[in-house]
Amino acid sequence: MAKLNALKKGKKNKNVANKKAQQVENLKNDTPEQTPKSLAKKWKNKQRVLLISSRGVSYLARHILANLKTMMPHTRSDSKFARKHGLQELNEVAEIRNCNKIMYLEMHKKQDAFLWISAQPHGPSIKFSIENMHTMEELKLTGNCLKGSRPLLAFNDEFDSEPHWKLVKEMLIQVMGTPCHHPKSQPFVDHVLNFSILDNKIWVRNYQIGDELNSLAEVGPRFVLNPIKIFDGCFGGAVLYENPKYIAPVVN
Amino acid sequence: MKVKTQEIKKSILKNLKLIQQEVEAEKPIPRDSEGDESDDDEQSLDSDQELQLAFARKELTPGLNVALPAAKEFVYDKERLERKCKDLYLSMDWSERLDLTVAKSECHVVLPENEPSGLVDNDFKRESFFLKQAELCVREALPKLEKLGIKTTRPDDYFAEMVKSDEHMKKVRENLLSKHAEAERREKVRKLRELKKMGKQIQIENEKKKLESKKKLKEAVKQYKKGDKDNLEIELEDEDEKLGKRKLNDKNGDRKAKIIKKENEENNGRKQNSKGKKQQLKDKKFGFGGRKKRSKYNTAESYAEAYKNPVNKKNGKNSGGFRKNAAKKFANKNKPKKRK
Repeated sequence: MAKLNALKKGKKNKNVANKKAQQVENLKNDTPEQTPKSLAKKWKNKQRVLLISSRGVSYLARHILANLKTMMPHTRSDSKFARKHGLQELNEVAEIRNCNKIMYLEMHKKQDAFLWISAQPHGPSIKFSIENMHTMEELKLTGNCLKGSRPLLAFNDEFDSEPHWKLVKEMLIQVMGTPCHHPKSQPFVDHVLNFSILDNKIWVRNYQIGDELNSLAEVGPRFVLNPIKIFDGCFGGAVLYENPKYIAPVVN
Repeated sequence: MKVKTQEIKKSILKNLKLIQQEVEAEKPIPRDSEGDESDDDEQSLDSDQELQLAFARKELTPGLNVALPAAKEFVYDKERLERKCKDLYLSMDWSERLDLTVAKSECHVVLPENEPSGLVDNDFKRESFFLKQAELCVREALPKLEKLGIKTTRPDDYFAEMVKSDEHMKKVRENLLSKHAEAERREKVRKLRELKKMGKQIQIENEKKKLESKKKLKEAVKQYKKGDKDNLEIELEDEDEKLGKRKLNDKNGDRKAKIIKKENEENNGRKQNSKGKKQQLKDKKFGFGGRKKRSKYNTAESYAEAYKNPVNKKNGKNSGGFRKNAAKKFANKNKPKKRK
C-alpha cells in the first residue's frame, strides 16, 4: 500500500512539474498583448486625487463630492479648506497627503460652484464652473455599479479638435480613470463615464453596463462643466486659455 | 475716463443753437483760457468746449456719445497648451487608460423640426444623444477588454460593496413599481369610463330593438285580424325564443345581479363601513388597545406614511364645494350634448 501511495505521489509530482514547464514555455512564446496572465499584476499608474471643498458649500456640491469619493477609490479627502489661506496652500495640503492630482470644489455664497482640477507638482490647472448638478441619490437614476470598479471613459471627437480640449481630456482621463490594479479597486469594468461637448460645455454622465449589449442604466452623478480658464501652474501661473463664451455671475 | 453723459447731453443741446448760429454767421467760436488742452482735440473729451468744437467739425453727432471700453482679448496660447498636454500625457497601455473617442456624427439623434433651440434644450433628445455615444463606446470597447482579459460582468457569487446601498435600490424599485401601478390604474379607470359610454349606447340600441320587435308584433296581429296568418306565426315563434332565452337567463341573471350589488356595496357603499379613509388609517395605527407608549414618532418615515395615501383627492368626500361643482354643472348647461 505504501509503495502504491508513493508511486501515486511520484506520478502527481511528475504531472505538476510537467504543467509548470508548459506554463513557462507559454510565457516565453506569448507577447504581453496576447495573454493576460503575462501582464504583471503591479499597480503602475500611481494617481492619487485629493478631493477637497471650501467652506460654505451647498448640500448638492457636498453630496456630489461624496459620490465621487465612493466611485473613485484612488481619492483622498481632507477637511474643508478655508479660502482665506489662498489657493497655493492647497499645494501644501496635497503634498502632505501625497497626492498628485487635486479636485477642489468651491462656492461663492452657496450659489455658484467652481471646480478646480489640477496636477500637483508643475501641472496645469483648469477651473470649471459646475452647473446642473444631480446626485446619485435621485430615484430616477436606477443603475448601480461596484464600489471602486474601473470606468470606461467615453469621449466625443470634439475633444481632439482643439488643443485646450485635448488638455482637458487628458486631465479627465488621469483624474477620473481608476488606475489598474489599484489595491482598493475592483477588477471589473462595469460602468462608463461619458463626457460629451455640447454648447461648449462638458456634460458628464455615468452609465452602468448591463448584461445585454445595449442596456445602459444611468448611475451616478450628473453635472455640466463649463471651462473658464486654464493655468500653466498649479493654481497659478500664466493663463493658457480663457473661455470667451463664459459669463461670470454678477457679484452683488 | 468717466464721461458725464447727462451733462454732455444738456450742454450739447444748449449750445447747439449757439454753435449753429455762429457757424452760419462764420464767427470765431469763443475760447476759454484752457488753451493747452484745446490743442489735442481728438483725445480729451472731458470739457464741454472740446465737445462743442468736435460737434462743429461734425465729428460728433447729436445724441448720447459714450466712450466704449476696448474689446477684451482672450488668451489662447495654443503652442503652450499642446506642449503642456504632451508633458502631461500618460503614456501607458490602453488597459491603464481605458479611454475611447466616438465621432459626433455617428450618434444620430433626430430633432423635431419645430424646435429651433437644438439639442441643448430638448432634454429627451439630449440624453439619448449621450446614451448613444456611451453605447457606441461600449460596443467598441468590449472586444478590446475581452482580449486583455478584463471582465465586465461579475460572477453570480461575487458579492461586493456597491456604490448605492441595497436599501436605496429598494427605494428605487418601489418608486418604479408605484409609477407602473399608477399608470395601470389610470388605464383601468379610462377603460371603465369608455365601457360605461359604450354600455349606455348598447342599452339604447337594445331598447330600440325591443321597440321594433313590439311594433312588428302589433303589425302582425293586425294583419292576422285582416286575414294574413303567416306573419303572426313567425313573430310568435320569435317571441317564444326570446322569452325562452330570457327565462333561462333570469334564473342566473338574478343571482348575478345580487352578487354584483353586494360587491358594489362593499366597495362604494357608505352603509357598511361609514368610516373615512383617514379614520381607518388611524384605527390601523392606534386603534383597539395595544402599545400606545412609543407609537407616535415624528420622523421622516412617519411623515412619509401620513402622506402616502392622499385623503382629499380630486373627487373625494371633502374636495370641491358647492361653487366648484356648480360651475361644472352650469358650464355645460346650454351646450349641445355630444353624441359619438
